[in-house]
Amino acid sequence: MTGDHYDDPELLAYAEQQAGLPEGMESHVEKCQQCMKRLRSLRTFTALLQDTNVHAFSRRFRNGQREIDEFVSLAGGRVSTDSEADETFELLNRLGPEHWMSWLTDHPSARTRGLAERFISEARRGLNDRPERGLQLLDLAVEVANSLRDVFEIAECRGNVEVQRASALRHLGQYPAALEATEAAGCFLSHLPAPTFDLAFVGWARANVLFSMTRYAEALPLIRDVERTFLSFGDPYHAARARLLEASILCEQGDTPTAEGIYRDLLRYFEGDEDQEMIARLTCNLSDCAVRRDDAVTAQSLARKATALFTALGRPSEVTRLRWSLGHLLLRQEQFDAALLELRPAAADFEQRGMITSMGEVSLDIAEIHLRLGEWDEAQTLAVHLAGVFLKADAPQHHAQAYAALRTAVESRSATIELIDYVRGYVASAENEGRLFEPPPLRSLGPQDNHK
Amino acid sequence: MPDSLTAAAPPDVREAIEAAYRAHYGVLEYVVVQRFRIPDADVRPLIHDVFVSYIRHRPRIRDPRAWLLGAAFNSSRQYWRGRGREEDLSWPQTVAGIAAVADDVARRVDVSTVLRRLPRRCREVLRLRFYEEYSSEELARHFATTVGYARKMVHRCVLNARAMFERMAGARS
Repeated sequence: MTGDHYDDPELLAYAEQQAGLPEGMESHVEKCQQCMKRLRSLRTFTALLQDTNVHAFSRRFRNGQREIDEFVSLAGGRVSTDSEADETFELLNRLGPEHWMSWLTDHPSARTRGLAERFISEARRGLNDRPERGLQLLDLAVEVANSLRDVFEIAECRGNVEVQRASALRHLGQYPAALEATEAAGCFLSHLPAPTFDLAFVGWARANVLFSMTRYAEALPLIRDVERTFLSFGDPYHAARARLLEASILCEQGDTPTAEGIYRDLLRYFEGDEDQEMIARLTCNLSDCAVRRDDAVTAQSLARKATALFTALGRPSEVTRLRWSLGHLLLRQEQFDAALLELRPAAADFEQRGMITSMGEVSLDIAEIHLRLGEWDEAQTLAVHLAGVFLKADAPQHHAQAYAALRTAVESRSATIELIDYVRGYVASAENEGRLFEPPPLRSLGPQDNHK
Repeated sequence: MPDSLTAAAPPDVREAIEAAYRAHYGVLEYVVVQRFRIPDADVRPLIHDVFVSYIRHRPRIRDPRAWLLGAAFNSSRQYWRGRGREEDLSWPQTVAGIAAVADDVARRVDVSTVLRRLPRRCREVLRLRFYEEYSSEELARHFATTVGYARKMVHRCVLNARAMFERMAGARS
């Protein structure tokens, strides 16, 4: 014993229940906190010594210095390439985009993975607001990527390009092409070493496209799988961001209470993280839930808060989307003048950004107001403009047909709220891609009915 | 070879990568070998790929230890799937769960390291006692000594090993 306590060899003998232990040891150890604590610690340690895996592992030999040097070199190379790419990109910005391709042709050594990634990140930054410019940047990234020598770097860059291309195409309403981009991304990235984390981003992008196509039943299990993958990497941040989509899907499927609960949980998480963009987005989504609960006061208050946050963040297209949401809410409340004040600038802004799919949907809300107010001349001007916009070569053809049919109906004064609802559903469903537009069977619903 | 493999690394990058490797390689190797039963010949390439992926994603990784372990888990699962086997590799889905696995494995790796560093006789004593499950009598016969001395040898070796283990844990924290 040492002082009033048993020493470690005695405690080990006690732990092994050996014969010949000192008299009174058992009662002392059971009462003495210090001896008990040391006994537990010894038992924990001897349990580790009993683990056959530990013994097996102790016989493994490794000398990792060579591998460390390789990893350090790889990481260092990436850091220096990224830094050079930042400088190159600054220079390109000063030159102006029209000179970029010729500059890259004249400077082949500047074509690095870092520069391709720089183009990709620049495209990603502007996807919401300028998706068409994003696509141009991504094409440049492909040019650079294709001139790289290392096959893994090519696969990484091309895969990342396709992930962002899918997002850009989704913003432009080109959903089938967006899905194809996610497939290409998966093909490229699956060639990388340990690609699971990369592929989670592909799955996320694909779930977003499926959500936009209203294919909720496919999007939901996919995004849940993505969340599980992020969690398996101990990455609650990306899992939480992906969960936002899960909640949005549930919301669209009509499960507003569950969605609202998830949004609130996420809001707490991102407030803790001080992520202003996610706070703004979640505030916006909570506003949408309030709309669905017919709680107009809360909805408007949250929408204005989200607008202020997005404005402060310099995210004009998000502000535009909020104006649309708010305008739609006001339309449902039959506050037509106030609704037009939100919807008209929203439609104009979407059109100016080339996001004609969204512009078309906002315009349907405006057309509905004109019909409800019996403003046929205004409705006609709008319908003619809308059909004209969709005559553009890259506009989805089934949208063009639907808006042309709407124009015809407005011009003949036979358009109805029912027709507008039908067109809304038709353009929102990607399943109609490639099919001829067939107007709904007309029933007698004259302009006077629209005033109710 | 890509340019990136021939470039010199800034000191802070070297330090970060070296620290990550030294802190986590053993834990990854233990998990891959002992938990996911990846055959010896494929262990090193698998962990190599995990580290390459880690280097690619480094800027957006918040918890390197959890990420590396998660990558090792996912790569092991892919490994078995690629061979037509759906191994049931259980893996926690929370940060705390992964941290608990990591702490537990790190302890076992440390004990393995201790066993490797102990004097040969002590290593032999602990192996026979705890791995081969020799009784004190069998140990005494093996070392041609008395049962009492065999017990003392075990105690001394356990306490030496534990002292070394605690020094390692202290140095890490």
